[in-house]
Amino acid sequence: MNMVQALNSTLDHVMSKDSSVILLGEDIGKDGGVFRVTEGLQGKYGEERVIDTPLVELGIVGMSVGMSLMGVKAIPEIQFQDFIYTAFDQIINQMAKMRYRSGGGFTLPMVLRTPYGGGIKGGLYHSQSGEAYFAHTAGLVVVTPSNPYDAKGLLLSSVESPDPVIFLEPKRLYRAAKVEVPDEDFRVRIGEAAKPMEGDDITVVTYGSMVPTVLNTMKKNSVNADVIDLRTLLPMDVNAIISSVKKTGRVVIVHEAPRTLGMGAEISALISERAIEYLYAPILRVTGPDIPFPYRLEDYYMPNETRIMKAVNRVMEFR
Amino acid sequence: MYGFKLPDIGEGVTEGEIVKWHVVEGDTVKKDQDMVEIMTDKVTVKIPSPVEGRVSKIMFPEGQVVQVGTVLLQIDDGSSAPAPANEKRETPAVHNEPAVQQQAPSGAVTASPAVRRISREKGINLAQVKGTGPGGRITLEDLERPVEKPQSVPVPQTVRAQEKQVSSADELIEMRGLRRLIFDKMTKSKQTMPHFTVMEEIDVSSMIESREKLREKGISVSFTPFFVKASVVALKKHPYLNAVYNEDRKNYTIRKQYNIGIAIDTPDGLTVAVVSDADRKSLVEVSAEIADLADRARKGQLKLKEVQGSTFTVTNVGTIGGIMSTPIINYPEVAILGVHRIISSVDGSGKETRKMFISLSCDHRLIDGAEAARFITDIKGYLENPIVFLAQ
Repeated sequence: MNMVQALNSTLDHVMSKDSSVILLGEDIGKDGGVFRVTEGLQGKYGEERVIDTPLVELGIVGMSVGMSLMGVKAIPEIQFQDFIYTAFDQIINQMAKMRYRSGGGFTLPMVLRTPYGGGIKGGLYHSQSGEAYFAHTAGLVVVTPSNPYDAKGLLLSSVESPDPVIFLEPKRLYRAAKVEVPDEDFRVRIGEAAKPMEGDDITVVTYGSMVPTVLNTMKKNSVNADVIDLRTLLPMDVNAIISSVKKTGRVVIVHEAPRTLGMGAEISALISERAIEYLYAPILRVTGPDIPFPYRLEDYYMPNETRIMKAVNRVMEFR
Repeated sequence: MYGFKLPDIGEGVTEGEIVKWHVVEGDTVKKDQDMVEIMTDKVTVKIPSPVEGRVSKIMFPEGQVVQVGTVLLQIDDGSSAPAPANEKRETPAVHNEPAVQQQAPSGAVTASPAVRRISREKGINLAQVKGTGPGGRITLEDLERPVEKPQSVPVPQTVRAQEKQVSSADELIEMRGLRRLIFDKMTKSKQTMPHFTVMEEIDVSSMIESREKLREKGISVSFTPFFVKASVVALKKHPYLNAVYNEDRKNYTIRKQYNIGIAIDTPDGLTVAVVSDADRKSLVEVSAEIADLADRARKGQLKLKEVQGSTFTVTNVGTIGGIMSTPIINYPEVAILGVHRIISSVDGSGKETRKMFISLSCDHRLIDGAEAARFITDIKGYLENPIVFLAQ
């Protein structure tokens, strides 16, 4: 099944098992969401558990925070991550801080799902990668799957998380690949990176939408790379990165989001702090440029094989 | 910032060992204040600071051998960058820029963090590794290549393991200072020159008698000047033994000067001082000069030119003990004369004889056995009849 199918069946599964789970968002009911992730769920669980909301992101998140405080497990959907910023106050000041401000008295077990990133000719208001905004905020859990299997495993873990999860769905991968996803419950643990490819020469750290691009590039160019798919951006699996860097001594970080103060900057700093003595070459980042997401130049904006290999070669050839 | 380079001390010296630092990082130094002791060719010189300022960085530890022109330490003298004109003034005749200098003008080494870690783990001094990467950066491969200078070859792991086995009651001796120079020179001499030694027994009765006669006249001389003067006369007859080996061109220069090296036992080790133009000096003059050289050698006050340029060496171990030895040639010379203890004995007729063994080691590549035998026979003849050679 593809990622949309995996997410849909997982939501179906958790709703059937737990009657306190409620979905809410724009066009998620009758329409099944713009990407059809919630297709068929309203028909199955009714309008009271799959709620079509008005076009008010602030309200969707605010209501979800309130519900979750009152024992309901809210799984809101923001139609495009680009629209999330109107709900920023609710996310940063309410969702993220509830546990801390209540001295641990309340947790906030909600999962905020949202598609993010480019690659579908969505234009500048439908293609942003805003993960760094959330990963900068203590109190949140930020995850992003790169395949249908992880999407299910991470979603199940997120639903069980006592803390609020920002669940970032790389929309270009929604239907990009079909893999076997087991029917039974399984978990992809939060805070645990995956290593879809192992190698000794170079570490490529990436996540979400860029994972298949990186893997294809490494395979096509026969790069003996240790590819790390972070899966959880906050809290990050630092040990996975550091142990790989200690093995290879060379690092390239690939993400779609703009470069400045992106996840790559954080990862690079972590490596400098903890493993600088193992580096043979500078840490290079392959990212989107520091510009608004361009509709016409989308292909140039997204990191591709050429750009990734340019960085890999530079790092590998550094003497 | 002023980069203080090891100046050319003269006499063709190209490198020196840092024996002792008199400053530490952070010290303020005045102009002409002694900063470091450098040993070159067995002579230690104190080098003063040409500028006033604060020592910001000491580039090498004590015991390190550095090339002339290498930046030894950096002094913050208020200038932002080393002014080329200033450097020229302070370090004249720097003509041997070492490899270290070519890598980075500041004396700093460029290498990735991982290369730095590995070099530290392997005990390699990066300052002595020539980088082949862009801009002279030291690569991992450079660390695996043996370093040109023998004293900077990384210590093999097996040796390290052995060092660890040394118990606390034992004493580990590092090759430093004069001992290192002796170490290197002896190794080079023995490894390069195929030695052979001829020996002869001489009757020293007349020599002792001559000495007594001089003493009666109020002239006190030791035995060594006799050997020096006898050697000079013999060397004139056998010029091939008064030669110096040129390693680069694999040939020899027969010297027309008679500069006789005298091996002197000092508290720090063996050193060789030179009686230059011994053929133009009288026995008494040679004697006085040897006494002066030996005295100053033991105080560490020899000047560079007094340890350089010998053409033939005499080593007298007889004053200490031993009836016979096989001396090692004072490289790059080609022969060395060893003189020993006087042995007194009484023959059947009840007459006392006083004899001594002498030995001559030669570089067999240049000196044949017959030549050496003729030379030592001549020496024997001279010493058994001193008036003959003293007259020459």
